[in-house]
Amino acid sequence: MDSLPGMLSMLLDGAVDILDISEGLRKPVVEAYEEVGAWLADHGNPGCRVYPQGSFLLGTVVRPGTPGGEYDIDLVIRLLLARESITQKELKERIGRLLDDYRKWKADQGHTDGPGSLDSRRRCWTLGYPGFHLDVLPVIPDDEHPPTGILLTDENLFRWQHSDPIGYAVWFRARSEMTRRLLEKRHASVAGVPTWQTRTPVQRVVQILKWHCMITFAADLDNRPPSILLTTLAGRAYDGEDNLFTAVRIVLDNMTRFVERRGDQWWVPNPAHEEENFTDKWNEYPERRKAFYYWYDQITTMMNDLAAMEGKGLDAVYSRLTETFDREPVTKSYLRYTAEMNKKQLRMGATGLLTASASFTGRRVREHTFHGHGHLPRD
Amino acid sequence: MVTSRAINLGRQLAAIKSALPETQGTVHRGELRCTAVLQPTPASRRYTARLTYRHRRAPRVAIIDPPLALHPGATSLPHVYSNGDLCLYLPGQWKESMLLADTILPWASQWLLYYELWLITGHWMGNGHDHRSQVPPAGS
Repeated sequence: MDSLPGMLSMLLDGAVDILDISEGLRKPVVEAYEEVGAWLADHGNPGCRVYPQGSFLLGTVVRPGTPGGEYDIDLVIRLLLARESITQKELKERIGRLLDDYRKWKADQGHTDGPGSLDSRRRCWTLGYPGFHLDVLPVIPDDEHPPTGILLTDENLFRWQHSDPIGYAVWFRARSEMTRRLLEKRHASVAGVPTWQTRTPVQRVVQILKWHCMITFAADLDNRPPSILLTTLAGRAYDGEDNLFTAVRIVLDNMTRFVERRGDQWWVPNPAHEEENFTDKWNEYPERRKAFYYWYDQITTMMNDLAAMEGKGLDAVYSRLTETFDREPVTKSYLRYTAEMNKKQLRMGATGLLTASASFTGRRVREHTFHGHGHLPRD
Repeated sequence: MVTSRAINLGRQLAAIKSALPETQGTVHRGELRCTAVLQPTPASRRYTARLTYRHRRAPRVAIIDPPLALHPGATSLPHVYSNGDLCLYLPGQWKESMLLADTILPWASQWLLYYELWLITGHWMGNGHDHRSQVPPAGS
Protein backbone atom coordinates (compact mmCIF):
# COMPACT_ATOMS: atom_id res chain seq x y z
CA MET A 1 0.00 0.00 0.00
CA ASP A 2 3.06 2.22 -0.07
CA SER A 3 2.54 3.05 -3.73
CA LEU A 4 -0.49 4.10 -5.72
CA PRO A 5 -0.69 0.76 -7.58
CA GLY A 6 -0.45 -1.00 -4.21
CA MET A 7 -3.27 1.10 -2.80
CA LEU A 8 -5.48 0.64 -5.88
CA SER A 9 -4.80 -3.10 -5.89
CA MET A 10 -5.92 -3.35 -2.30
CA LEU A 11 -9.12 -1.39 -2.98
CA LEU A 12 -9.99 -3.37 -6.12
CA ASP A 13 -9.12 -6.66 -4.48
CA GLY A 14 -11.38 -5.82 -1.56
CA ALA A 15 -14.24 -4.88 -3.87
CA VAL A 16 -14.16 -8.05 -5.97
CA ASP A 17 -13.75 -10.08 -2.81
CA ILE A 18 -17.15 -8.72 -1.72
CA LEU A 19 -18.60 -9.95 -5.05
CA ASP A 20 -16.88 -13.32 -4.83
CA ILE A 21 -18.80 -16.24 -3.40
CA SER A 22 -18.45 -16.39 0.37
CA GLU A 23 -17.28 -19.47 2.24
CA GLY A 24 -20.70 -19.50 3.88
CA LEU A 25 -22.45 -19.89 0.52
CA ARG A 26 -19.82 -22.13 -1.06
CA LYS A 27 -20.71 -24.91 1.37
CA PRO A 28 -24.44 -25.18 0.54
CA VAL A 29 -23.60 -24.96 -3.18
CA VAL A 30 -21.17 -27.87 -2.99
CA GLU A 31 -23.53 -29.88 -0.77
CA ALA A 32 -26.40 -29.28 -3.17
CA TYR A 33 -24.63 -30.51 -6.27
CA GLU A 34 -22.85 -33.36 -4.53
CA GLU A 35 -26.19 -34.62 -3.32
CA VAL A 36 -27.68 -34.44 -6.83
CA GLY A 37 -24.68 -36.41 -8.13
CA ALA A 38 -24.85 -39.03 -5.39
CA TRP A 39 -28.59 -39.46 -5.86
CA LEU A 40 -28.26 -39.95 -9.61
CA ALA A 41 -25.47 -42.48 -9.15
CA ASP A 42 -27.57 -44.37 -6.57
CA HIS A 43 -30.67 -44.39 -8.80
CA GLY A 44 -29.57 -46.39 -11.75
CA ASN A 45 -26.94 -44.17 -13.37
CA PRO A 46 -23.68 -45.63 -12.06
CA GLY A 47 -21.38 -43.87 -14.54
CA CYS A 48 -23.01 -40.52 -13.92
CA ARG A 49 -20.86 -37.65 -12.75
CA VAL A 50 -21.88 -34.20 -11.58
CA TYR A 51 -19.13 -31.58 -11.44
CA PRO A 52 -18.77 -27.81 -11.54
CA GLN A 53 -17.56 -25.97 -14.59
CA GLY A 54 -17.06 -22.33 -15.48
CA SER A 55 -16.38 -19.60 -12.95
CA PHE A 56 -17.13 -21.72 -9.88
CA LEU A 57 -14.48 -24.22 -10.96
CA LEU A 58 -12.08 -21.47 -12.04
CA GLY A 59 -12.45 -19.36 -8.90
CA THR A 60 -13.64 -16.30 -10.83
CA VAL A 61 -17.22 -15.98 -9.62
CA VAL A 62 -18.67 -12.46 -9.58
CA ARG A 63 -22.09 -11.78 -8.10
CA PRO A 64 -24.42 -10.03 -10.56
CA GLY A 65 -24.86 -6.38 -9.70
CA THR A 66 -28.64 -6.42 -10.02
CA PRO A 67 -30.54 -6.08 -6.73
CA GLY A 68 -31.19 -9.54 -5.35
CA GLY A 69 -28.79 -10.86 -7.99
CA GLU A 70 -28.08 -14.53 -7.44
CA TYR A 71 -24.95 -16.51 -8.02
CA ASP A 72 -25.05 -18.60 -11.15
CA ILE A 73 -23.24 -21.90 -10.65
CA ASP A 74 -22.59 -23.95 -13.79
CA LEU A 75 -22.54 -27.72 -13.47
CA VAL A 76 -22.22 -30.64 -15.80
CA ILE A 77 -24.22 -33.85 -15.51
CA ARG A 78 -22.44 -36.41 -17.58
CA LEU A 79 -24.13 -39.70 -18.43
CA LEU A 80 -21.93 -42.47 -19.78
CA LEU A 81 -23.71 -42.92 -23.10
CA ALA A 82 -22.45 -43.24 -26.65
CA ARG A 83 -23.28 -40.43 -29.05
CA GLU A 84 -25.04 -42.83 -31.42
CA SER A 85 -27.33 -44.12 -28.69
CA ILE A 86 -29.16 -40.88 -27.90
CA THR A 87 -30.22 -37.60 -29.47
CA GLN A 88 -29.67 -34.18 -27.91
CA LYS A 89 -33.38 -33.85 -27.24
CA GLU A 90 -33.58 -37.27 -25.59
CA LEU A 91 -30.59 -36.52 -23.38
CA LYS A 92 -32.03 -33.19 -22.28
CA GLU A 93 -35.40 -34.81 -21.48
CA ARG A 94 -33.84 -37.75 -19.72
CA ILE A 95 -31.80 -35.52 -17.41
CA GLY A 96 -34.90 -33.39 -16.86
CA ARG A 97 -36.85 -36.47 -15.72
CA LEU A 98 -34.03 -37.53 -13.40
CA LEU A 99 -33.88 -34.08 -11.83
CA ASP A 100 -37.65 -34.07 -11.47
CA ASP A 101 -37.50 -37.49 -9.75
CA TYR A 102 -34.78 -36.15 -7.48
CA ARG A 103 -37.00 -33.22 -6.47
CA LYS A 104 -39.92 -35.57 -5.76
CA TRP A 105 -37.68 -37.82 -3.72
CA LYS A 106 -36.47 -34.81 -1.68
CA ALA A 107 -40.07 -33.80 -1.04
CA ASP A 108 -41.08 -37.39 -0.10
CA GLN A 109 -38.24 -37.54 2.38
CA GLY A 110 -39.53 -34.37 3.97
CA HIS A 111 -36.29 -32.55 3.14
CA THR A 112 -36.62 -28.80 2.92
CA ASP A 113 -33.19 -28.10 1.43
CA GLY A 114 -34.03 -29.38 -2.06
CA PRO A 115 -34.27 -27.18 -5.14
CA GLY A 116 -37.33 -24.92 -5.07
CA SER A 117 -37.65 -24.88 -8.84
CA LEU A 118 -36.63 -26.72 -11.99
CA ASP A 119 -36.70 -24.87 -15.32
CA SER A 120 -35.58 -25.72 -18.81
CA ARG A 121 -33.23 -23.34 -20.64
CA ARG A 122 -31.61 -23.53 -24.03
CA ARG A 123 -28.59 -25.58 -22.99
CA CYS A 124 -29.33 -26.54 -19.41
CA TRP A 125 -31.73 -27.24 -16.60
CA THR A 126 -31.83 -24.67 -13.82
CA LEU A 127 -32.34 -25.72 -10.22
CA GLY A 128 -33.26 -22.85 -7.92
CA TYR A 129 -31.98 -22.61 -4.34
CA PRO A 130 -32.03 -19.71 -1.88
CA GLY A 131 -29.28 -17.27 -2.95
CA PHE A 132 -28.05 -19.23 -5.95
CA HIS A 133 -29.13 -21.42 -8.80
CA LEU A 134 -27.46 -24.36 -10.43
CA ASP A 135 -27.37 -24.41 -14.23
CA VAL A 136 -26.99 -28.07 -15.04
CA LEU A 137 -25.75 -28.98 -18.52
CA PRO A 138 -26.69 -32.47 -19.73
CA VAL A 139 -23.64 -33.96 -21.45
CA ILE A 140 -22.14 -37.21 -22.72
CA PRO A 141 -18.45 -38.02 -23.24
CA ASP A 142 -16.81 -36.84 -26.47
CA ASP A 143 -14.94 -39.91 -27.70
CA GLU A 144 -12.93 -37.79 -30.11
CA HIS A 145 -11.42 -35.77 -27.23
CA PRO A 146 -10.69 -38.12 -24.35
CA PRO A 147 -10.48 -38.12 -21.42
CA THR A 148 -12.25 -34.86 -20.48
CA GLY A 149 -13.97 -33.77 -23.72
CA ILE A 150 -17.78 -33.65 -23.57
CA LEU A 151 -20.71 -33.09 -25.93
CA LEU A 152 -23.46 -30.63 -24.98
CA THR A 153 -27.03 -30.19 -26.08
CA ASP A 154 -28.36 -26.96 -27.51
CA GLU A 155 -32.04 -26.55 -28.43
CA ASN A 156 -31.19 -24.16 -31.24
CA LEU A 157 -28.42 -26.15 -32.88
CA PHE A 158 -28.66 -29.39 -34.77
CA ARG A 159 -25.12 -30.59 -34.02
CA TRP A 160 -23.76 -31.58 -30.63
CA GLN A 161 -21.53 -28.87 -29.18
CA HIS A 162 -18.01 -29.79 -28.10
CA SER A 163 -16.62 -28.62 -24.82
CA ASP A 164 -13.95 -29.45 -22.27
CA PRO A 165 -14.43 -27.53 -19.03
CA ILE A 166 -11.98 -29.69 -17.09
CA GLY A 167 -9.30 -29.30 -19.74
CA TYR A 168 -9.93 -25.55 -19.68
CA ALA A 169 -9.67 -25.38 -15.90
CA VAL A 170 -6.36 -27.24 -16.03
CA TRP A 171 -5.04 -24.63 -18.47
CA PHE A 172 -6.35 -21.73 -16.37
CA ARG A 173 -4.95 -23.15 -13.16
CA ALA A 174 -1.53 -23.43 -14.74
CA ARG A 175 -1.75 -19.72 -15.66
CA SER A 176 -2.78 -18.95 -12.06
CA GLU A 177 -0.33 -21.08 -10.24
CA MET A 178 2.69 -19.90 -12.05
CA THR A 179 2.40 -16.84 -9.83
CA ARG A 180 0.89 -18.40 -6.75
CA ARG A 181 4.23 -20.16 -6.35
CA LEU A 182 6.02 -16.83 -6.78
CA LEU A 183 3.70 -15.17 -4.28
CA GLU A 184 4.24 -17.81 -1.66
CA LYS A 185 7.97 -17.49 -2.07
CA ARG A 186 7.87 -13.73 -1.72
CA HIS A 187 5.61 -13.69 1.32
CA ALA A 188 7.28 -16.57 3.09
CA SER A 189 9.64 -14.16 4.82
CA VAL A 190 7.14 -11.38 5.54
CA ALA A 191 4.04 -13.20 6.85
CA GLY A 192 2.08 -10.22 5.57
CA VAL A 193 -0.44 -11.72 3.16
CA PRO A 194 -3.81 -10.16 3.99
CA THR A 195 -6.15 -12.87 5.15
CA TRP A 196 -8.65 -12.20 2.36
CA GLN A 197 -6.10 -12.63 -0.39
CA THR A 198 -6.94 -16.21 -1.18
CA ARG A 199 -7.33 -15.73 -4.92
CA THR A 200 -4.39 -15.56 -7.28
CA PRO A 201 -3.78 -12.33 -9.17
CA VAL A 202 -5.02 -13.80 -12.45
CA GLN A 203 -8.30 -14.88 -10.83
CA ARG A 204 -8.73 -11.37 -9.47
CA VAL A 205 -7.88 -9.82 -12.85
CA VAL A 206 -10.61 -11.92 -14.46
CA GLN A 207 -13.09 -10.93 -11.75
CA ILE A 208 -12.38 -7.24 -12.33
CA LEU A 209 -12.77 -7.59 -16.11
CA LYS A 210 -16.03 -9.52 -15.66
CA TRP A 211 -17.39 -7.05 -13.13
CA HIS A 212 -16.66 -4.12 -15.39
CA CYS A 213 -18.14 -5.92 -18.38
CA MET A 214 -21.29 -6.92 -16.48
CA ILE A 215 -21.91 -3.28 -15.58
CA THR A 216 -21.11 -1.95 -19.05
CA PHE A 217 -23.63 -4.30 -20.64
CA ALA A 218 -26.25 -4.37 -17.89
CA ALA A 219 -28.86 -3.16 -20.40
CA ASP A 220 -27.50 -4.93 -23.47
CA LEU A 221 -26.99 -8.57 -22.51
CA ASP A 222 -26.98 -9.85 -26.09
CA ASN A 223 -23.85 -7.91 -26.93
CA ARG A 224 -22.03 -8.57 -23.67
CA PRO A 225 -18.70 -10.26 -24.36
CA PRO A 226 -18.87 -13.76 -22.85
CA SER A 227 -16.94 -14.42 -19.64
CA ILE A 228 -15.08 -17.29 -21.24
CA LEU A 229 -13.66 -14.90 -23.87
CA LEU A 230 -12.47 -12.41 -21.22
CA THR A 231 -11.06 -15.23 -19.10
CA THR A 232 -9.18 -16.73 -22.03
CA LEU A 233 -7.71 -13.45 -23.24
CA ALA A 234 -6.73 -12.49 -19.68
CA GLY A 235 -5.16 -15.87 -19.03
CA ARG A 236 -3.16 -15.62 -22.24
CA ALA A 237 -2.07 -12.01 -21.68
CA TYR A 238 -1.17 -12.41 -18.01
CA ASP A 239 2.58 -12.31 -17.43
CA GLY A 240 2.99 -13.27 -13.77
CA GLU A 241 2.68 -9.77 -12.26
CA ASP A 242 1.53 -10.04 -8.65
CA ASN A 243 0.36 -6.46 -8.10
CA LEU A 244 -3.30 -6.63 -9.08
CA PHE A 245 -3.66 -3.12 -10.47
CA THR A 246 -0.53 -3.43 -12.58
CA ALA A 247 -1.57 -6.94 -13.65
CA VAL A 248 -4.89 -5.62 -14.98
CA ARG A 249 -3.06 -2.93 -16.95
CA ILE A 250 -0.58 -5.42 -18.40
CA VAL A 251 -3.41 -7.75 -19.36
CA LEU A 252 -5.24 -4.87 -21.04
CA ASP A 253 -2.08 -3.85 -22.88
CA ASN A 254 -1.65 -7.34 -24.26
CA MET A 255 -5.02 -9.06 -24.49
CA THR A 256 -6.17 -7.90 -27.91
CA ARG A 257 -3.03 -9.41 -29.47
CA PHE A 258 -4.56 -12.82 -28.84
CA VAL A 259 -7.48 -12.14 -31.14
CA GLU A 260 -6.45 -13.85 -34.36
CA ARG A 261 -7.53 -13.42 -37.94
CA ARG A 262 -7.85 -16.77 -39.73
CA GLY A 263 -8.81 -16.17 -43.34
CA ASP A 264 -11.84 -13.92 -43.04
CA GLN A 265 -12.71 -15.17 -39.55
CA TRP A 266 -11.99 -13.71 -36.09
CA TRP A 267 -10.55 -16.41 -33.85
CA VAL A 268 -9.84 -16.87 -30.17
CA PRO A 269 -9.31 -20.59 -29.77
CA ASN A 270 -10.30 -22.48 -26.64
CA PRO A 271 -6.91 -23.35 -25.08
CA ALA A 272 -8.30 -26.78 -24.20
CA HIS A 273 -9.98 -27.40 -27.52
CA GLU A 274 -8.36 -25.74 -30.52
CA GLU A 275 -11.33 -26.17 -32.86
CA GLU A 276 -13.60 -24.16 -30.61
CA ASN A 277 -13.64 -20.46 -31.44
CA PHE A 278 -14.77 -18.13 -28.64
CA THR A 279 -15.31 -15.31 -31.14
CA ASP A 280 -17.36 -17.26 -33.68
CA LYS A 281 -20.29 -14.95 -33.00
CA TRP A 282 -18.22 -11.95 -34.11
CA ASN A 283 -18.19 -13.37 -37.61
CA GLU A 284 -21.95 -13.62 -37.65
CA TYR A 285 -22.75 -10.43 -35.71
CA PRO A 286 -20.08 -7.74 -36.29
CA GLU A 287 -21.69 -5.54 -33.62
CA ARG A 288 -20.51 -8.03 -30.98
CA ARG A 289 -16.91 -7.38 -31.95
CA LYS A 290 -17.60 -3.65 -31.76
CA ALA A 291 -19.18 -4.16 -28.33
CA PHE A 292 -16.08 -5.97 -27.13
CA TYR A 293 -13.79 -3.11 -28.24
CA TYR A 294 -16.16 -0.55 -26.75
CA TRP A 295 -15.86 -2.31 -23.40
CA TYR A 296 -12.11 -2.64 -23.85
CA ASP A 297 -11.76 1.12 -24.41
CA GLN A 298 -13.94 1.87 -21.38
CA ILE A 299 -11.99 -0.25 -18.96
CA THR A 300 -8.64 0.89 -20.37
CA THR A 301 -9.68 4.52 -19.88
CA MET A 302 -10.76 3.83 -16.32
CA MET A 303 -7.48 2.12 -15.47
CA ASN A 304 -5.49 4.96 -17.06
CA ASP A 305 -7.49 7.51 -15.08
CA LEU A 306 -6.83 5.62 -11.85
CA ALA A 307 -3.13 5.34 -12.61
CA ALA A 308 -2.95 9.12 -12.83
CA MET A 309 -4.53 9.71 -9.40
CA GLU A 310 -1.43 9.91 -7.27
CA GLY A 311 -2.00 12.75 -4.79
CA LYS A 312 -5.54 13.47 -5.99
CA GLY A 313 -7.31 12.36 -2.81
CA LEU A 314 -8.78 9.08 -1.55
CA ASP A 315 -12.20 10.62 -2.09
CA ALA A 316 -11.36 11.46 -5.71
CA VAL A 317 -10.28 7.84 -6.28
CA TYR A 318 -13.57 6.74 -4.73
CA SER A 319 -15.49 9.03 -7.08
CA ARG A 320 -13.67 7.66 -10.12
CA LEU A 321 -14.25 4.06 -9.04
CA THR A 322 -17.95 4.58 -8.35
CA GLU A 323 -18.39 6.45 -11.62
CA THR A 324 -17.93 2.98 -13.14
CA PHE A 325 -18.54 0.38 -10.49
CA ASP A 326 -21.47 -0.06 -8.14
CA ARG A 327 -21.11 1.77 -4.86
CA GLU A 328 -21.66 -1.04 -2.36
CA PRO A 329 -18.59 -3.20 -2.99
CA VAL A 330 -16.34 -0.15 -3.41
CA THR A 331 -17.56 1.37 -0.14
CA LYS A 332 -17.17 -1.93 1.69
CA SER A 333 -13.64 -2.22 0.38
CA TYR A 334 -12.80 1.26 1.72
CA LEU A 335 -14.29 0.32 5.09
CA ARG A 336 -12.24 -2.84 5.17
CA TYR A 337 -9.10 -0.83 4.41
CA THR A 338 -9.95 1.58 7.24
CA ALA A 339 -10.53 -1.27 9.66
CA GLU A 340 -7.12 -2.71 8.75
CA MET A 341 -5.47 0.66 9.33
CA ASN A 342 -7.23 0.99 12.70
CA LYS A 343 -6.08 -2.44 13.84
CA LYS A 344 -2.43 -2.17 13.03
CA GLN A 345 0.56 -0.41 14.46
CA LEU A 346 1.21 2.37 11.97
CA ARG A 347 4.45 3.98 11.00
CA MET A 348 4.97 7.31 9.29
CA GLY A 349 7.36 7.83 6.40
CA ALA A 350 9.25 10.90 5.23
CA THR A 351 6.26 12.42 3.41
CA GLY A 352 3.71 11.68 6.11
CA LEU A 353 2.86 8.36 4.47
CA LEU A 354 1.17 6.03 6.96
CA THR A 355 1.77 2.37 6.59
CA ALA A 356 1.02 -0.78 8.50
CA SER A 357 3.84 -2.69 6.85
CA ALA A 358 6.19 -4.21 9.40
CA SER A 359 9.14 -4.01 7.03
CA PHE A 360 8.78 -0.24 6.75
CA THR A 361 11.27 1.72 8.82
CA GLY A 362 9.27 4.89 9.47
CA ARG A 363 8.51 6.36 12.90
CA ARG A 364 6.03 4.48 15.03
CA VAL A 365 2.77 6.33 15.52
CA ARG A 366 1.84 6.53 19.18
CA GLU A 367 -1.63 5.65 20.45
CA HIS A 368 -4.02 8.57 20.74
CA THR A 369 -7.68 9.46 20.48
CA PHE A 370 -9.03 12.24 18.30
CA HIS A 371 -10.63 14.76 20.60
CA GLY A 372 -14.12 16.09 20.19
CA HIS A 373 -14.57 19.47 18.64
CA GLY A 374 -15.65 22.83 19.89
CA HIS A 375 -13.47 23.50 22.91
CA LEU A 376 -10.08 25.10 22.57
CA PRO A 377 -7.36 23.45 24.63
CA ARG A 378 -5.69 25.24 27.51
CA ASP A 379 -3.67 27.93 25.82
CA MET B 1 1.03 14.08 38.62
CA VAL B 2 4.60 13.36 37.61
CA THR B 3 5.91 16.04 35.28
CA SER B 4 8.82 15.07 33.09
CA ARG B 5 11.19 17.52 31.53
CA ALA B 6 10.02 19.45 28.50
CA ILE B 7 12.02 18.78 25.36
CA ASN B 8 14.01 21.76 24.10
CA LEU B 9 12.37 23.42 21.07
CA GLY B 10 15.54 23.17 18.94
CA ARG B 11 15.57 19.43 19.53
CA GLN B 12 11.87 19.21 18.70
CA LEU B 13 12.47 20.95 15.35
CA ALA B 14 15.52 18.82 14.54
CA ALA B 15 13.46 15.67 15.16
CA ILE B 16 10.68 16.99 12.92
CA LYS B 17 13.14 17.74 10.11
CA SER B 18 14.61 14.30 10.48
CA ALA B 19 11.16 12.67 10.29
CA LEU B 20 9.82 14.93 7.53
CA PRO B 21 12.85 16.29 5.65
CA GLU B 22 10.83 18.77 3.58
CA THR B 23 9.74 20.66 6.68
CA GLN B 24 10.55 24.38 6.90
CA GLY B 25 10.71 25.78 10.37
CA THR B 26 12.17 28.16 12.92
CA VAL B 27 12.43 28.57 16.66
CA HIS B 28 12.06 32.22 17.55
CA ARG B 29 11.43 33.83 20.95
CA GLY B 30 10.36 30.60 22.53
CA GLU B 31 8.03 29.58 19.75
CA LEU B 32 8.47 26.74 17.30
CA ARG B 33 6.80 27.30 13.93
CA CYS B 34 7.02 24.98 11.02
CA THR B 35 5.18 23.91 7.89
CA ALA B 36 5.27 20.27 6.91
CA VAL B 37 3.89 18.48 3.89
CA LEU B 38 1.78 15.44 4.83
CA GLN B 39 0.42 12.84 2.42
CA PRO B 40 -1.07 9.98 4.45
CA THR B 41 -1.48 7.58 1.51
CA PRO B 42 -0.17 7.62 -2.07
CA ALA B 43 -3.68 8.41 -3.28
CA SER B 44 -4.14 11.23 -0.77
CA ARG B 45 -3.52 14.90 -1.46
CA ARG B 46 -0.31 16.55 -0.31
CA TYR B 47 -1.41 18.78 2.54
CA THR B 48 0.60 21.62 4.01
CA ALA B 49 0.23 21.66 7.77
CA ARG B 50 1.37 24.50 10.03
CA LEU B 51 2.50 23.56 13.51
CA THR B 52 3.08 26.12 16.24
CA TYR B 53 4.21 25.29 19.73
CA ARG B 54 5.46 26.96 22.92
CA HIS B 55 6.37 25.30 26.15
CA ARG B 56 3.45 24.94 28.55
CA ARG B 57 1.01 25.45 25.71
CA ALA B 58 -0.75 22.86 23.61
CA PRO B 59 0.80 22.32 20.15
CA ARG B 60 -1.46 23.70 17.44
CA VAL B 61 -1.85 22.25 13.98
CA ALA B 62 -3.79 23.84 11.13
CA ILE B 63 -4.05 22.70 7.51
CA ILE B 64 -3.23 25.68 5.32
CA ASP B 65 -3.34 24.06 1.88
CA PRO B 66 -5.40 22.82 0.12
CA PRO B 67 -8.55 24.24 1.76
CA LEU B 68 -10.45 21.53 3.63
CA ALA B 69 -13.84 20.59 2.21
CA LEU B 70 -17.06 19.32 3.78
CA HIS B 71 -18.90 16.08 3.22
CA PRO B 72 -22.14 16.84 1.35
CA GLY B 73 -24.71 17.41 4.05
CA ALA B 74 -22.20 18.28 6.78
CA THR B 75 -22.02 21.80 8.13
CA SER B 76 -18.70 21.51 9.94
CA LEU B 77 -15.54 19.46 10.01
CA PRO B 78 -15.25 16.71 12.62
CA HIS B 79 -12.49 16.89 15.20
CA VAL B 80 -11.47 20.51 14.78
CA TYR B 81 -11.52 23.32 17.31
CA SER B 82 -13.59 26.42 16.73
CA ASN B 83 -10.54 28.20 15.31
CA GLY B 84 -9.96 25.45 12.74
CA ASP B 85 -7.04 23.75 14.51
CA LEU B 86 -7.12 19.95 14.47
CA CYS B 87 -8.20 18.08 17.61
CA LEU B 88 -5.65 15.31 17.74
CA TYR B 89 -5.65 13.88 21.25
CA LEU B 90 -7.42 13.73 24.56
CA PRO B 91 -6.13 15.79 27.45
CA GLY B 92 -3.20 13.97 28.98
CA GLN B 93 -2.26 11.95 25.89
CA TRP B 94 0.38 14.42 24.83
CA LYS B 95 3.15 15.62 27.13
CA GLU B 96 6.02 18.05 26.74
CA SER B 97 8.43 15.18 27.21
CA MET B 98 7.25 13.69 23.91
CA LEU B 99 8.64 14.44 20.49
CA LEU B 100 6.19 16.28 18.22
CA ALA B 101 7.69 14.23 15.37
CA ASP B 102 6.46 11.01 17.00
CA THR B 103 3.08 12.28 18.09
CA ILE B 104 1.48 15.47 16.81
CA LEU B 105 2.67 15.20 13.21
CA PRO B 106 1.82 11.51 12.63
CA TRP B 107 -1.49 12.17 14.36
CA ALA B 108 -2.11 15.03 11.95
CA SER B 109 -1.33 12.73 9.03
CA GLN B 110 -3.81 10.21 10.45
CA TRP B 111 -6.34 13.00 10.87
CA LEU B 112 -5.94 13.74 7.14
CA LEU B 113 -6.44 10.07 6.25
CA TYR B 114 -9.70 9.96 8.23
CA TYR B 115 -10.71 13.33 6.83
CA GLU B 116 -10.49 12.01 3.24
CA LEU B 117 -12.48 8.93 4.26
CA TRP B 118 -15.00 11.20 6.01
CA LEU B 119 -15.44 13.10 2.73
CA ILE B 120 -16.60 9.77 1.22
CA THR B 121 -18.75 8.33 3.98
CA GLY B 122 -19.68 11.20 6.27
CA HIS B 123 -18.45 9.10 9.18
CA TRP B 124 -15.31 9.60 11.19
CA MET B 125 -13.78 6.15 11.08
CA GLY B 126 -10.77 6.72 13.26
CA ASN B 127 -11.17 6.45 16.99
CA GLY B 128 -12.52 9.53 18.65
CA HIS B 129 -14.79 10.59 21.45
CA ASP B 130 -17.15 12.97 19.80
CA HIS B 131 -20.31 11.15 18.90
CA ARG B 132 -21.55 14.12 16.96
CA SER B 133 -18.95 13.27 14.35
CA GLN B 134 -20.52 9.86 13.76
CA VAL B 135 -23.60 11.41 12.22
CA PRO B 136 -23.89 14.44 9.98
CA PRO B 137 -23.35 17.30 12.44
CA ALA B 138 -26.54 18.98 13.50
CA GLY B 139 -24.92 22.39 13.10
CA SER B 140 -23.96 23.01 16.70
